[in-house]
Amino acid sequence: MRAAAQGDEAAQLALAKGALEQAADPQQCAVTVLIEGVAFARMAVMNDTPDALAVLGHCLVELSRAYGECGDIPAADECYGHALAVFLEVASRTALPTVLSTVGGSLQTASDTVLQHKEFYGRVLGALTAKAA
Amino acid sequence: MDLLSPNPTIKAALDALASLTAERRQRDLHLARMVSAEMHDTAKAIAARHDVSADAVLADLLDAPSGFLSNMDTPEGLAGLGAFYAEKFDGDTSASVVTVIH
Repeated sequence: MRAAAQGDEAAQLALAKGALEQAADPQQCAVTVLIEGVAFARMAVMNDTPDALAVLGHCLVELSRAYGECGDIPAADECYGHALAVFLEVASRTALPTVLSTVGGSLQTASDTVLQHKEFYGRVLGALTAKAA
Repeated sequence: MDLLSPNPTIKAALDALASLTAERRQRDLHLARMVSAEMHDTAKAIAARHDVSADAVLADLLDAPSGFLSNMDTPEGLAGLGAFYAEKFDGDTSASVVTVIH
């Protein structure tokens, strides 16, 4: 964690991936673990680590699922919208057919509320990746 | 290596997105059916309480944002709805209005 805080890209990504594994453990509070995972993945995105965007999207998807299971639908919608913004960036960078079709399908069924959250996080992501560039 | 396939990290993330999207679609379909039936009952109850047209109340509910409707089966959603109509028709925002919706 110290290495991650000091900007070590590999450590940031390892902690974010670790959060995804821990969240699957029923003994852990998935929401708490995944909020940390999102924070570390976001740091990795700022360092432009390869795969960091995918891990950030993955953490946001699982956080949305965890909020939904708690019954917090507004928070679940927010995280899902943020995840869509991240996956849209992954799609634009990789241009792989599988990525494009999965993200496109998710966008088509997203509610207006989710799309508003996606727009907001798209701007946040733009600022993060601009810093990395 | 297949250049048209995403790497394992991206694939795992994509699978998670596809799975959550499918779950949300199922939930929304269920919610749409439930809310539609509930909206008519709610509109009638509010209309009777405030002596207004049930159609007018239903029109308001249909215009409401989806996030608002998805909260209708929660105490907070019902309280918000009750307070809105109490203010709109009576100026009375007492919690008793909420009970008519239940």
